[in-house]
Amino acid sequence: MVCCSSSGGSTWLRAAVLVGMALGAGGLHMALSDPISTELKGSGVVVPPTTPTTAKLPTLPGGGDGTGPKATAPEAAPVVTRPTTEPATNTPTNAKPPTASPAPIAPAPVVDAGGQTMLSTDAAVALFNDLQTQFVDAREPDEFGAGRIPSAVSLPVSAFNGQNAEATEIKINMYLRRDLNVVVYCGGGQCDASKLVAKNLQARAFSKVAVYHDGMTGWTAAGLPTESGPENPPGLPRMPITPPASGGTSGGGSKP
Amino acid sequence: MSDVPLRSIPPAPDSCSPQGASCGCPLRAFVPLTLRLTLGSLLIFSGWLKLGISSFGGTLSTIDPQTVLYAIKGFQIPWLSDQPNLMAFLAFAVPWVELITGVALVLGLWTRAAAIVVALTMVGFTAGIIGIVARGLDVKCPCFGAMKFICGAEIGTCHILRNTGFFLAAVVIAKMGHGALGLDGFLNRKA
Repeated sequence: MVCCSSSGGSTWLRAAVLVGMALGAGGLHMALSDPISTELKGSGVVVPPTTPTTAKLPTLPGGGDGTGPKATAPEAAPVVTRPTTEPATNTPTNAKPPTASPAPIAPAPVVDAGGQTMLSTDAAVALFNDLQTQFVDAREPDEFGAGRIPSAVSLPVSAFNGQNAEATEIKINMYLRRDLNVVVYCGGGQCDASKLVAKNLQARAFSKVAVYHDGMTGWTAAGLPTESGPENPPGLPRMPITPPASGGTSGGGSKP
Repeated sequence: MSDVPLRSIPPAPDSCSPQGASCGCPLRAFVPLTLRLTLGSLLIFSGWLKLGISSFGGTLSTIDPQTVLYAIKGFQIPWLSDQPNLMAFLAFAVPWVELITGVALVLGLWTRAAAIVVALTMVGFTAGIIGIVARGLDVKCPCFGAMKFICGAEIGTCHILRNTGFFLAAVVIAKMGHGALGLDGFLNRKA
């Protein structure tokens, strides 16, 4: 055996030296770098002890203009009750009904009169757990810092105007990927910030953009976890969440 | 009787010496060379992607130790999960282990030692991945930074197979030595 030949002792010694060098370099790097947080994103998240949600929405309709792939929504789909001029058969969705478990999640985006895809709380949760969806908070920074959907990126409407615009462009390119879903939300109900930000993102070549209709109000009312404090750096993984024991969170008790 | 002292006759060189570089067996010379260049390059690449020092003007999709830390915590390794400072240290040290052993392998310097470290590292990584798969956790691997190499981001069986391949390559290098074009061979000849 190599390790036990005449030079085996020096081989192990050298291996120890290599590890020592690496640990030393790591320690030095750590000392010279900004301290990193040992708290996982979404720390303080209280996950309700319920059956994990397995239903997922892999993709969103492209463009948000009602021209996405057509599919018939499940009959019992807990869609958002929202005034729409579109007949039900025009509901663009490629949402897959749950197959892996009987979880009462059947997310079905609808399109509102403005041509934007609106998501129910159930759909938002399913997309959140898909981990291929980015959440964008369209509220102002103070509201964002007070409590938000875990891993959300702050992009208030005001960030697209005036002297913030250039920095916002940079931030969008740093934080968001155009090949993934983007779900924009604001306070919930009748707030328009999410729709405005969604339009701004669509204008910047984001093709899979949807609006979470019930927003933060619906999210918290459904007992879903939130996080607070400073915004996290880009590209961080997040943990899946489980909906509350009551199962369906559609509507989420939103308060317009 | 001659008064001339007898010179010690050096033993005939083993044509298939594991040291490889001067041997007459092409396999012993070029298999380790190929493996260590391949494995070493990948380790340098993956280590650099995790250090967050430079993405070369955005050419590479790098991540930083903060992201590595989140990934380590995502592994939910018993005991280690309760050691935030140790996890933070590992977030910095693991990429350096990959980088330094990768450089050693590419140069053919302390080749066997580097291969042993790589093999042990792969055992550790793979054990963690098996734990994730067994528990059904949904964790993204920062193995190659934000880039994908062979496997996707979500940790699964593919990562186990890939790491097993790396492990076997490291074992072969440890067994066969540096092969051709290694600094070890140059230093040995000099000595």
